[in-house]
Amino acid sequence: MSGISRRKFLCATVVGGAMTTLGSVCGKGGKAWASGSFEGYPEGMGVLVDLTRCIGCRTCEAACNKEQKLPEPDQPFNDQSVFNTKRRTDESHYTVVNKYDAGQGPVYRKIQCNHCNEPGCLTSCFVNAYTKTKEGAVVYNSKVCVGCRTCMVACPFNIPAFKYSSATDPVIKKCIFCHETRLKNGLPPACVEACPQAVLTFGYRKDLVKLGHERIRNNAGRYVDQIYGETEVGGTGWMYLSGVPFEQVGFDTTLGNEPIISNVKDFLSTVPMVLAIWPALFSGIHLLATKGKDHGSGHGEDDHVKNEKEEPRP
Amino acid sequence: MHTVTITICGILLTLLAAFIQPVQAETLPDKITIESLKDLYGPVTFGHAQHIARERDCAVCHHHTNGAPASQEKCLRCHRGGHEVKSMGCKSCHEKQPFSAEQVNGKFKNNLQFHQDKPGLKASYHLSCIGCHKQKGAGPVACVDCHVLTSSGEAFYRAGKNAPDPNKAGKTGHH
Ligand code: HEC
Ligand code: HEC
Ligand code: HEC
Ligand code: HEC
Ligand code: HEC
Repeated sequence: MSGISRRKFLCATVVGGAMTTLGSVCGKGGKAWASGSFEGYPEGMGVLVDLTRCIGCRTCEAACNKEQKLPEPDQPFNDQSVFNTKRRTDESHYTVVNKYDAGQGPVYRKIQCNHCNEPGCLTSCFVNAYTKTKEGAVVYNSKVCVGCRTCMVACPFNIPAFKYSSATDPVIKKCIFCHETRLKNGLPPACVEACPQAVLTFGYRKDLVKLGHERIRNNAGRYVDQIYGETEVGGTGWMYLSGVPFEQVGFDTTLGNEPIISNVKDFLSTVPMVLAIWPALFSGIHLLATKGKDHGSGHGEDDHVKNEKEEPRP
Repeated sequence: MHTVTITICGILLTLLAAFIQPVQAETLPDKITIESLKDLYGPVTFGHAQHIARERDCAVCHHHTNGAPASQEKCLRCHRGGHEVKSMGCKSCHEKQPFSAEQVNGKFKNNLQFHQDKPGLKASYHLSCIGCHKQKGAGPVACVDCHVLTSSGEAFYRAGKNAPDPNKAGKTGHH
């Protein structure tokens, strides 16, 4: 028996004892999640968000800020006054919690990128900046991004945000499922780990669908009989359970179950001309976008000053 | 002389305790300092005896693990008879790291595990404590009413001495 096979043997025993699949414990750099297909699903990871458990403590927002090294917030993360307005995710907040009054008491809803199975941002991006990783995260390569903002339009959940602070390096910003620092190393996203109420349950997406339906069935009357994101726009990695109708807490329930990819495809096949026009269109938009922000200065070192004038995104 | 008084007092107290709480009086903790997770917040002082006196049912917090039937309707379906376990502490079943690769991979792959929706330790406390306090409209629900924010907590939440400068407010995206 060689040294290597002996080590493997030991490893398998340990793993077997811990009821895990091979590779999750053994060997650094091994895949933490027993993932299969390259598209990221059905073996992709996901998160089930249970709105009936959320108490609006904003710990997830703080955890995200720390993990992603985002800029200092305007208010402390334990300040509840932010709930006076409905906030959106932006380049310095990859996740936000909003408060809704839906009949019996407040309902809090965390928003972030939903990590679609077939992401509209990905299919709409003409420089292929986006990737759906095998772990299920929708990530982007900022070196490739030209700042055309098509993904902002394509996203059914209004998630990608444009980073204004640098005109020379236009870039989209959004939640990446903590892919680089955690997901690919076998750790749950920072917000999930931080949540004190288990609002967020992390696991294989296909398991979470089962678990969600079980939770609905075992707790008669507590939930609306639907998992938002199970089928919407072809299914999302992040899915929601709610005690009140989804449209009452800000969800778009008109999206349908077709992924954005097929809309784009249909669109392309019916109007092939578009293919020819798009690049021109995009560079136009890009120019407009950059021009709009330049305030006549346009020099790198003025970024700082320009930024002071910048209004926060509405 | 002194030692005699103390001994007598001790015996009396033990007897008294035994009378008030017939269930496992010797081992039942009156006040518990829950602190195995402390980091952002300090330890929690939990009035076990006070809660028992009010609730009169171990199962509302400990499930059916004390030998008494489960308290929740949805659990009663299967846990009609109680079932004693080695340790009733939440820690002995609720994991500190419920979403580690080991847990996540093991949970569903292993069909021997019946319960797959068990919250982690931190959440088991909060779902239980805050869940009941909210439902009864009594007992603390605000974060700092159960545990104080530590200095690492202040850094994490950007609160207290780590609070953002209000003069700079409205300029996120600035660095
Ligand atoms: C009813 C009491 C109670 C309330 C209210 C409460 N907690 Fe806790 N919390 C606990 C207990 C018990 C623990 C476990 C302490 C331990 O084991 O160290 C805990 C632990 C924690 C921990 C993990 C330990 C740490 O210090 O990092 C976090 C984070 C936390 N609570 C956040 C919150 C937040 C945020 C709120 C407000 C929304 C809150 N808690 C409200 C009882 C409470
Ligand atoms: C309101 C909730 C609540 C009720 C009611 C309650 N307990 Fe507890 N009990 C707790 C908590 C919380 C702990 C701390 C466990 C931990 O830190 O993991 C605890 C700890 C204990 C422990 C120590 C476990 C250990 O190994 O650390 C015992 C024994 C115990 N309880 C028995 C009882 C019995 C018997 C009853 C009924 C007479 C009862 N409890 C009622 C919440 C409760
Ligand atoms: C459909 C039947 C069913 C329901 C409903 C059910 N359980 Fe169970 N439970 C089981 C079975 C079977 C086991 C033993 C297998 C195991 O340990 O996984 C078990 C084991 C347990 C154990 C472990 C006991 C030990 O000795 O370690 C606990 C604790 C428990 N259940 C709590 C609950 C709670 C809390 C609920 C309600 C929220 C609940 N169960 C609802 C079937 C059920
Ligand atoms: C013997 C193992 C065991 C012990 C000890 C235990 N739990 Fe649990 N607990 C479970 C299991 C198993 C479930 C999952 C039930 C299910 O799947 O619905 C559960 C579920 C829960 C839930 C969520 C389900 C619900 O709706 O009630 C809470 C909250 C909870 N436990 C709190 C506690 C607290 C607090 C303690 C300590 C006082 C504790 N548990 C001690 C095994 C245990
Ligand atoms: C089954 C219901 C229930 C559960 C579970 C519960 N509590 Fe309570 N708790 C109460 C009630 C009711 C009061 C209010 C007593 C009053 O105001 O007279 C209370 C009061 C308190 C108080 C105020 C001091 C006191 O004892 O009156 C603290 C602190 C507290 N709870 C901590 C906790 C912690 C920590 C947990 C979880 C480990 C917990 N409670 C779980 C019902 C519960």
